[in-house]
Amino acid sequence: MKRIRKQIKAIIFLLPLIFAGAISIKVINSVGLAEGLFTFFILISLRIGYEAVRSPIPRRVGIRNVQRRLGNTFLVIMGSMVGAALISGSLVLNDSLDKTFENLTFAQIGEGDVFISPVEKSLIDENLTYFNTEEVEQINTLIDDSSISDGTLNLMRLTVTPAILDEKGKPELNAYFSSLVGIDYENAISVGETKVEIPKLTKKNGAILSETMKKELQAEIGDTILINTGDIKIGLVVESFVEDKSFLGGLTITVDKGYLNSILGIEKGSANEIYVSSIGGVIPKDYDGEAFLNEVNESLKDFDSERVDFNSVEIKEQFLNGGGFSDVSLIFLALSSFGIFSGILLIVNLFSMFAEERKKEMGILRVVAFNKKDLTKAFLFEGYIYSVIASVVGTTIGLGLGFILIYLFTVIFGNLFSAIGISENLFDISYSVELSSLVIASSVGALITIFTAYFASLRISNLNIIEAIKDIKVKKNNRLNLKWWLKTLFYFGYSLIGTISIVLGLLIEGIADSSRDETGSFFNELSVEDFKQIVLVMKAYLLYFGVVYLSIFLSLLLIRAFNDIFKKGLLKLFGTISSIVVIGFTIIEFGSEDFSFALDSDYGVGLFFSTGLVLVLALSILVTLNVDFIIWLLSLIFNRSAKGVLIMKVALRYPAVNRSRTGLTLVMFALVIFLISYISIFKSSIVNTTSNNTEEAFNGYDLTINPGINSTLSSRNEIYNVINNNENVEKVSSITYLNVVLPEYKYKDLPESAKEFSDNGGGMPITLSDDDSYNTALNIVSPEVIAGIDSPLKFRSDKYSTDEEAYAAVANDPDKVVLGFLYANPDLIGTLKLEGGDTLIISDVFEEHIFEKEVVGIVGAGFFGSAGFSQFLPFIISTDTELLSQLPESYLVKNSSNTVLTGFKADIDPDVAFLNLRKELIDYNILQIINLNELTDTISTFIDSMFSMLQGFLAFSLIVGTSGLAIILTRSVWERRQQVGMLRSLGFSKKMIFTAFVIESSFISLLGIAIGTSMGLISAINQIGGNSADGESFLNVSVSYSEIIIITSLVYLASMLFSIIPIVKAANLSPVEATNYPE
Amino acid sequence: MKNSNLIAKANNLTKIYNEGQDNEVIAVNNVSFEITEGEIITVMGPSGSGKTTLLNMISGIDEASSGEIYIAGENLVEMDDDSKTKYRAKNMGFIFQTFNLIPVLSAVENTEMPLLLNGIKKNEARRIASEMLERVGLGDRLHHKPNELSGGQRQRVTIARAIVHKPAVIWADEPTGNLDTKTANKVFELMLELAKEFNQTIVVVTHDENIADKTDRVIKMDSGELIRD
Repeated sequence: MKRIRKQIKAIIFLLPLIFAGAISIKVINSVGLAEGLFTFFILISLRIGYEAVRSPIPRRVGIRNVQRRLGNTFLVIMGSMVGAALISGSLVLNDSLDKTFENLTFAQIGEGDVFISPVEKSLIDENLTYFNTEEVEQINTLIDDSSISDGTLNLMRLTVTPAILDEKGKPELNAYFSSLVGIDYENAISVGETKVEIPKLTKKNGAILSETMKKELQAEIGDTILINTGDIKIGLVVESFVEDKSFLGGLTITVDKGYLNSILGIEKGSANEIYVSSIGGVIPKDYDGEAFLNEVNESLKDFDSERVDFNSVEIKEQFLNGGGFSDVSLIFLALSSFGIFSGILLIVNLFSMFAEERKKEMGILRVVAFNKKDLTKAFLFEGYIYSVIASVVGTTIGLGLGFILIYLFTVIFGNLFSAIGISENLFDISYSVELSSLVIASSVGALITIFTAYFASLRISNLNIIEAIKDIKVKKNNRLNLKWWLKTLFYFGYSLIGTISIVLGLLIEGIADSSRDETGSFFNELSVEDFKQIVLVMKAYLLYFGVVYLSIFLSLLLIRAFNDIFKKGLLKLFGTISSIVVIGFTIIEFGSEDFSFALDSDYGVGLFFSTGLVLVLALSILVTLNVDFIIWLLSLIFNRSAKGVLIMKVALRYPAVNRSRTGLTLVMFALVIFLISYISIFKSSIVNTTSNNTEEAFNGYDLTINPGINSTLSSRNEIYNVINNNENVEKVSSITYLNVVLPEYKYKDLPESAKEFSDNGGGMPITLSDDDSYNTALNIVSPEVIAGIDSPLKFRSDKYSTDEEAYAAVANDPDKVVLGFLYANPDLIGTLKLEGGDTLIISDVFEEHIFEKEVVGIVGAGFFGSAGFSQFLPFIISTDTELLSQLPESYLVKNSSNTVLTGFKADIDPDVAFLNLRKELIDYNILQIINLNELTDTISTFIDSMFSMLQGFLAFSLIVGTSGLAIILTRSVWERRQQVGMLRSLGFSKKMIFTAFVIESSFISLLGIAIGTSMGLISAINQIGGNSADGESFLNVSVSYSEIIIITSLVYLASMLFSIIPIVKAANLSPVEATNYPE
Repeated sequence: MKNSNLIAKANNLTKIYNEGQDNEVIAVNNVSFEITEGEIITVMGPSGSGKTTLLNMISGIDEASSGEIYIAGENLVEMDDDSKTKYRAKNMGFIFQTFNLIPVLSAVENTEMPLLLNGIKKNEARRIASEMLERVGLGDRLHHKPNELSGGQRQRVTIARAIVHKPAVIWADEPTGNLDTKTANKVFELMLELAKEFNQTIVVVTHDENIADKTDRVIKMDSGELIRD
């Protein structure tokens, strides 16, 4: 009866919590996340406040404990605020990126939401693809009639490299990759709600420059700008400047469309870009991009033209999302979870320590008047105060962290952009904070701390009164009562779940295979690739967690049985065995192909976090349980003097005996260091692979030079000759990227993953309908480029015995091709997987010219592809330059582009030669020139900086470990002051006490560092090494040991810095402390 | 020092806490006395009479505000901290009311500390400490931690620790204060027996008249002053 009453009481106690949760979820759904979390925090606070009013004595005890030692309170808050700081830092980054893309949207997109472009139905014998006047009007009318839009903007846009002319009329400075935009003034100023103010042009060839362009060209009013498209040269006069806004923004020169079209020789009303604005401002409220795109497509369904079809893309949402870039803050947030978890452990650790320290007074309180609930309340009130202060402090510090991140982002991206020839002015992140982010960060931070404090309080209030007061160990009466059996059953249940999970993991492939044939089953409805992925992911999760669960709970079960039934303490034995099993199994799993596949899949992130956490926890448990053994090993090394032995003993026995305290501190350190060292290896592997690949890819070449978009073959040849004749140039090779299709493979037949890849720009141009053939790029290269490739072939035709032979065959025979590594990836190309020796049919997109090629092989994995080929596209490499001449010129102009690889003579300074050639080419239609040496350096620096920034951000969580260690030491010094006094009386000098405490804190921090680093190394080397769908790595694993040493040394120094105050305090304790008997 | 048997001598010892402030306390006021070799002395007096402070000063673990302390011919007041520490390690043993054992070390590990501090090799120290624990009747508790021992047993470990390195003087501050009368008597008997065996001087601070009766000399203190020797 008593038990039932207790259960009912527990449920009644939980009811307000459930109620608060339900209300908060309702608020989250109807208003927003921030409001919901805040509501939850307020309701929890009210609940705690109500208890505080009702229980004045626990309240007083709780508050007094906060005020008791302010230094201690400071450190507790430092440690507990990390969660809120990391969340707030990540959210500030998120807000700022959102704001930046919003600004960029205003600056470069404006009212346009859906972008409509022309697609030729059949080859038009002109060098541009555009809508003619009638087609433009038709689209405008159809959109107007549908009343879904508040305007359409018709533009003629060319991608050009304008150059400003000097006094002598010679080009002086140019801006690569710029837009020349022709507008119809009346149309341009009337689109949408937010009207754009455009200065009227007075001259026919007058031009308006954006502020970005003005800066880039250092232009002034009246300057002349030359636009050179190879065939046509246009001289423009700078009439005015406008701030970056809407279509006028970015690297843009705006001119009159009629004038531009007349020069291009097409109808004045023609346009190649039409932007449809949805009703509302630049960012309409409740805007739904997909829905609007559908409405636009619906209203244009009657569009009818002999010449062209249209393609429509939603751009507003994509732009606002920064093409997915703003999600980068999510990575920061996700990885922060390790730091947040460390913070939780710190709170648990602190509360256990408080309990230990206040054991006696808690015991007395229990004797006097307090029941267990009152003790819990006293701790909860104390924890609540820490939580609230820590969440406010943390959120504020997060604002600073966010500010630093944004500053670094701007610098890092600015450097990258300027190196790849894009104006660095384009990406200037504006610091922005939404109130909701602050509310989320502080509410989540506070709630995490409050709940952790609450559960820790529940545990510690459960103390034995006699044990507490008399400081003795009362032998536990392990009665095998109902509670014991229930707990045992719980462990048994989890062991059983582990076992079932392992069995399911082993059988899942068979079960899935048989269930796949049943119509309507879960597996039946999956595509081939999804099926494979999901089955392997399920297998990996089931097996892994099965083994982990079974190891943990079976050992707990055995420990229980031996402790209570057979009266033998075997915690150490079973704990050690289960930790070794878990670590060993994780490492074995890293080596398994299926597990690597699962890790690399869309669902792999959970495995990454779990394996990391499991490894760190398991090794920490293993070390904590066997810390005696480590101390014994150390004592063998430091065995010289009797005093040394004594110091070591006094120093190390405390952490060895206080296992839970030591273990928790180790985990706090290790988790963060695990992540930082993992990222270090990931970073050095990417940097290493990137620079290797780029060096390999551009072997011996110094520059890539791209002639302008839509340039003619003669114009490309002219540029090629200029480069070839330059006195500093030793070798020149040409690569032409030709847009072709594979008529045998239809878009509709592709696996979903490949369609997704294609739709995201993997195949160009964007596929129009299911019956279209698969798009790809044919790279026509000079034979010497082939000779420079040394990427191993993954598949090779039987006709060739070595890769060199196969490559030589492609170099010598224009009818042979080699396929890029993406063709070897079933995930992307799926059924299109070709193997060496097959015949491949290639044609132009209109399937009028058909070419047959023999495949000699497929290039193996490579991060950047090879030899400067279109890096991420599914490419085909051939030396068939003749093929180009069999296609009409207008097709080549619109469907191909060209890169000239340029290598300077060995005795010439490549940077000087680069500037020289750049100057010489200023008169020609060049899209951009990339200095490969600089690019390699810049990319390496960029990757290095990005990851270092992430490491720095995460290193912030080390505050948890270091302040945790400091708190532990401060507490230890306080707890042991009488013992220290006694040691001093016995003859320990100050130096000996100092050394003992330094050894103690070093021991814990170095062990934590060793656990984190070793597990980080093991995880990273195994995971990065096996990080690809087919078990082959995209990355060459590279460990920067110097960086790891620097990181670990810095962490150690930081921990010592935090610990030095309590250590000095300890050393300065007077021997009199020995006789300062506590009351 | 004139007398060759003299172990310690205090001249006009004074200890003032918070000197010059409103809450100034004169804990020990102008106390002088001598201790000779092999003597068993009790310092008695009510709580707050300055017994422990006197003991702390004369044993060199606390500084005197004024006065002189001679131990084996050297003025303790003039010694620096290091010299005092070394001196204590070699020549003194301490027994405290609350035992002050290191809770994470076993009985034998606690006992061997003074030996290791005096540079005795690990194995030798372990042997001597074990013998000493045997001697105090804890031969079967060598590897027990303090919280696994009773109060009386803990105090025996403290006694073993205080005499294991055969110091000239043992300072004991309320050594039986935390023990019941029966155990207290037993423990004190043991102390006396061992001290006599090794010809050690013992200075005991206590409230306990029973204890005082068993010693050679009783010094009484009140309000920081020596009222009877």
